[in-house]
Amino acid sequence: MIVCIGNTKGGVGKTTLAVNLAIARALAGRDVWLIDGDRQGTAQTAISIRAEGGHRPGIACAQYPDGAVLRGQVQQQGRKFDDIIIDAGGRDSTALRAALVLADVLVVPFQPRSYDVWALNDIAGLVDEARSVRDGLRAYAVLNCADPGESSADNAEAAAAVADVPQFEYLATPLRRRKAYANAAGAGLSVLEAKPVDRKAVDELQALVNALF
Amino acid sequence: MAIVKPKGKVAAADAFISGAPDAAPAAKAAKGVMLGHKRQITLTIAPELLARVDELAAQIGQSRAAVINLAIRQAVERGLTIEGLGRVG
Repeated sequence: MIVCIGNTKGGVGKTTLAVNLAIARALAGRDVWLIDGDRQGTAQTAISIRAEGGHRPGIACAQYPDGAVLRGQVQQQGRKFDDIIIDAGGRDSTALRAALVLADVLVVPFQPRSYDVWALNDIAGLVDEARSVRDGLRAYAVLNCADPGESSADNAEAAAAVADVPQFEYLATPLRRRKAYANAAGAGLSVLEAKPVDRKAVDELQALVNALF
Repeated sequence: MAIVKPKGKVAAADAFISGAPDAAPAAKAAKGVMLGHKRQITLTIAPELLARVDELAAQIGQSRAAVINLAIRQAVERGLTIEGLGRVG
């Protein structure tokens, strides 16, 4: 399955989520290809830190900031992998658009903040365009860096705001703001393998993985 | 064929991808005018030098353009001798 973690807005935790999802699938025994569609190459850097640290399983990771190249490579090499996770965006780019053309599922992480909710309309426009040139793109919005606690008003309001953007289905498996995600991703790890174990982070990520795959 | 088929999905996808703001701009068409197999250019030249070009052209029975082209061809193929730099090209 090809999953694009994308948003035209930056700073929503795309790369952290992409790295976590890719490793989670690899730990589940799948052949995973993580594609970094960002010129900054943060995902690529995280995976090289993972490789230098000798953590198993290793993750195949490639960086294609150019949309045409990304599309060509996935069309040629994609069959060799069980799951492909594409980290794309931060802005409207050829890489993000290529990922939207290729992906089975688009996951749009967003924070329970006004700017993030407003930005959903931008990526929704691209989803419309992508759907006009292809069939079967499923698009989910998922809360990332959500406020702690089950009863957060901002989380609930942000989740409800997704209903105003019909392009997306709201995925009720939020990831909350936890240092465990950032610390693990910085070391090229997922929260599933990082020590000390953050049980809540593990459960959240597992719930998201189960909902997606 | 009078029937135009709708744009294929592949071409549409290409257009969608290359429509992003960071896409490379389409190659610019070369400026200038083609005359047959040659390109027309504008050249400014010192009047004294032009007089000598014309003199040479009359001597060998060629046109002004032929002399200029011949001189340029010889320069790019054999190199130029420039005071201070010696032979270049």
